Amino acid sequence: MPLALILPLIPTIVEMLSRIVNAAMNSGEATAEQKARLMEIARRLDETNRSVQALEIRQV
Amino acid sequence: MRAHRTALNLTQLAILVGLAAWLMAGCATVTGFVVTGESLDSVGKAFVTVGQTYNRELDAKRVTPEQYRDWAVFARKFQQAYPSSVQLWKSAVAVNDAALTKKTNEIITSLVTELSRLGSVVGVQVLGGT
Repeated sequence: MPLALILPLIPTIVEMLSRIVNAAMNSGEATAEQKARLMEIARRLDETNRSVQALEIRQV
Repeated sequence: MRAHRTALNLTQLAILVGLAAWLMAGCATVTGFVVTGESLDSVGKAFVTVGQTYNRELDAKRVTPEQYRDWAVFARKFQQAYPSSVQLWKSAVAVNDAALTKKTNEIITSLVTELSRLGSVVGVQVLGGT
């Protein structure tokens, strides 16, 4: 591919790469729906933990 | 015209790569927390089921005191380890730490292995882990 064709594309490519990096870095943040799901799991884990602790272990 | 077509192709490629990176990074974090949290919940529930079965089978004299003692040793360890594992998972979620999630997965795997062995004694099949 002639250099003359590639050169005008460099700013576009740089901008796209920058957006890719930003998207990848920000993707770790959960959306509101995902946060709600994680909070619901946390609530269930507390409930399950209470059942685990309440289980009777007998002395035999 | 040809240059325009080339630019369009490169831009499309960049957009596709960007979308793929975004999707892959999302799966590696939030989905991982969900899977680990659900596994931890399942293991806790399985523990309660196995424990209740041991108590019932002991009353019915279908498990020996030795078998029950084997269970009881593990059960006390489990009761100590479980809240720590839950806390570890919550910390991993709070600080978005994949290493803590991995540690939680390791704990779940070790608990499931022993719980499966003990569950099979009283006929309870334990499925789970990550």
